[in-house]
Amino acid sequence: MAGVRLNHIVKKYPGNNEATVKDFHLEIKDKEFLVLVGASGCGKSTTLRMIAGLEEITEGELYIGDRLVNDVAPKDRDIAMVFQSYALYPHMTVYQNMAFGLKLRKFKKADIDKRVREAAKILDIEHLLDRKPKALSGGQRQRVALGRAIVREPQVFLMDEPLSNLDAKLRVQMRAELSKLHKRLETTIIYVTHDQTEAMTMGDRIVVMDKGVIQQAATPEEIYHFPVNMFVAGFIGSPSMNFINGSFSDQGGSLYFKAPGISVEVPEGKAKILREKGYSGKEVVLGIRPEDIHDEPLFLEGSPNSVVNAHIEVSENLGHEMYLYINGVGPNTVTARVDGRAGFKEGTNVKLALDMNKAHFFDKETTVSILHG
Amino acid sequence: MNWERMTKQLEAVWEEPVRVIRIPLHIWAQRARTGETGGLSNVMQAGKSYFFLQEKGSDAELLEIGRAEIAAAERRLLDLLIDSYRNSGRKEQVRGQSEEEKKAEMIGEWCNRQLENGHNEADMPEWLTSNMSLYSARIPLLLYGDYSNSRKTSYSDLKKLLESFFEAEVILIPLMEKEWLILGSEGLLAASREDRGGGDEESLEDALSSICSGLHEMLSNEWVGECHLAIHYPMVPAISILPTLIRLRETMQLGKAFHVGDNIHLPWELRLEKLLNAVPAAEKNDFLEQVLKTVERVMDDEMISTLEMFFALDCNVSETAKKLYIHRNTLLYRLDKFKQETRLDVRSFSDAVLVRIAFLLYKVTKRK
Repeated sequence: MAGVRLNHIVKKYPGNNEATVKDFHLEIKDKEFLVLVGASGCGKSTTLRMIAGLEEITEGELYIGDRLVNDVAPKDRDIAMVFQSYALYPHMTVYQNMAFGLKLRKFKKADIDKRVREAAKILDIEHLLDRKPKALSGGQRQRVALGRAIVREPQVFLMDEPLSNLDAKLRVQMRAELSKLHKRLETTIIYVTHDQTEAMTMGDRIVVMDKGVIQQAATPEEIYHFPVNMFVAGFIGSPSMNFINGSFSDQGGSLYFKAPGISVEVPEGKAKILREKGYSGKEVVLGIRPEDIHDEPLFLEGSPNSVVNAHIEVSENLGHEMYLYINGVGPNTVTARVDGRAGFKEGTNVKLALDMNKAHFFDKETTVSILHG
Repeated sequence: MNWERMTKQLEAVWEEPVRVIRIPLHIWAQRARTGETGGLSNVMQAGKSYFFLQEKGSDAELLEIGRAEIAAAERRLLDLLIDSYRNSGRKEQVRGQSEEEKKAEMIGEWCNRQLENGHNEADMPEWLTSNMSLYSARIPLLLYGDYSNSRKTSYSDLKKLLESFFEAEVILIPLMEKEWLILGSEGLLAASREDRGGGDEESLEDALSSICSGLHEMLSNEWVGECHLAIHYPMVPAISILPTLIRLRETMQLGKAFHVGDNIHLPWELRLEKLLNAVPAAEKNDFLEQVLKTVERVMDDEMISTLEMFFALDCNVSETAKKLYIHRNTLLYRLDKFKQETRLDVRSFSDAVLVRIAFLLYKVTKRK
């Protein structure tokens, strides 16, 4: 088993002015489940393909374990790939598909049989070993692709959106199974997705990428609660974090955040840091997650200095919760998440309170978090 | 002999600068006499260590390591390593080709020559077809290796790999550098036909597509790196190898030009692209001038990926939003924005066709 080290990796395609992956510097621990997440075109798949050996590295060094593998062919890197566009070998049975790589490497028949049957058992596809891919469902084919990777007992698994071709229900099921598989195999997994739910639920650590650059690499909890910039804050979380442009002002010894329709007190601890960093009187961006905007009377009474008056433009009732799209809280529409039984109606006014202890503040110019950047 | 890989590995181990230098042979001989020697093949001088690699004309190629203190055991290991690299280089030079490989090379050279001279329909001469099973139907594939030049591949290794996949004899013909014509066993299609139960509607194109995808997957995992593959309908090589090769190259060229990022190129999926490619440049420019001008200003990365997905999913709004992980309303907003800027509504069939064509041409011209 092995970790993976990416030392200042750069990928630049000929003819492009800008690098697709810029100075990617990261150490992935042995047995870690690391997720690369970001929007389409952010460079996450390119990074994975460089680790796989399917893309040449323009600059930097890649180590798998202690081996420098920049010029090593994919078959010699001791990795196994399960990519979105995986294809099974159509003329071979499931057993033959899984055994193929081992046969090439001249494993003994008995050893091949043992590995294939063990992997098939883990994936619950023992009853499919004699079938051809044509006779399998999407989920079953996905398991065979995984089985083909597992039998190799690689140092690192590389997965690029392996669940994206499955329907929603199957995706949720397979997500849980992949997590269980990781615990069982105790192998390093590097997983690419642009589904933030997958990222948050599966990863030991998440790397958020944008335009070829690592924005933040941290645990799901850290990424969610302590995003280092507006991109990370807005990318992770659904519905997205609300951003409100405004400025600070000192009032009677307290620091207030002000914007059209808002004047809310900043908690003491945060205020101290903001003042020390010289933000008093400056323009900043307030970030507040929808679930940190409250309608409960207890919260409203307990936080009079963080109450806002809002107008409900649109409401979406999901049953257990309701999303309110409100105006009058800053210059743009803000989303609040409240209890599904709250019974709010579109076109009405409502009093809400911002949980300022959970508020984030970002520098307006650099977009970096003032408190966590 | 490429010592680059070895120097990089040594640098990583010692965390000291390591490089290959050249000095005149007679100066090396002198250094070897006057410098402190650690053995027959290396010298320490001025805080650095030098190891002899090879003669290059009248120069000596040396490995310079940025430290003088190298333990005796390390020195011996390094001598062994250098020797091993030297020997593997010699083996590449002296390894002979099999008869089969030589014949395949001759076929490749003949094909290239015929096509260069415009003889696109010539039948293969008997002296080439003898003993090569070229009169039976074969599945033709064009393989283009998209890997770094520092990775070496051998004809015999590739052939063995292909025969493991096809489970039958394969004819492998080297063409240009990193380009091979693969003539696979038609038996795969026959087996596929036998597998089909009642009501199974898999077409020939589907079967060939599965074979091509499976082969690409196998090569990605088991060969030297990434590759492009194009496939065509089964043919008899002795009679139609040249027209098939032309079609395969055209398919690959179209696929690479219009769908950057795709590695599998299927001719039946590139019919529109083939038609557009045949349109004279003046007509293309005219069309782009009229349509692209309005479209270009909204063609950022987000809009391109949105429209790509929308067209790929048969203009289905719900499915497209799901695949893009955006809210349905967000997608509608983007399509409305596109309509506002360009007066083209991709939800209407005729506008969608126009935009798709403009889109294809835009991608190709933008790269130019």
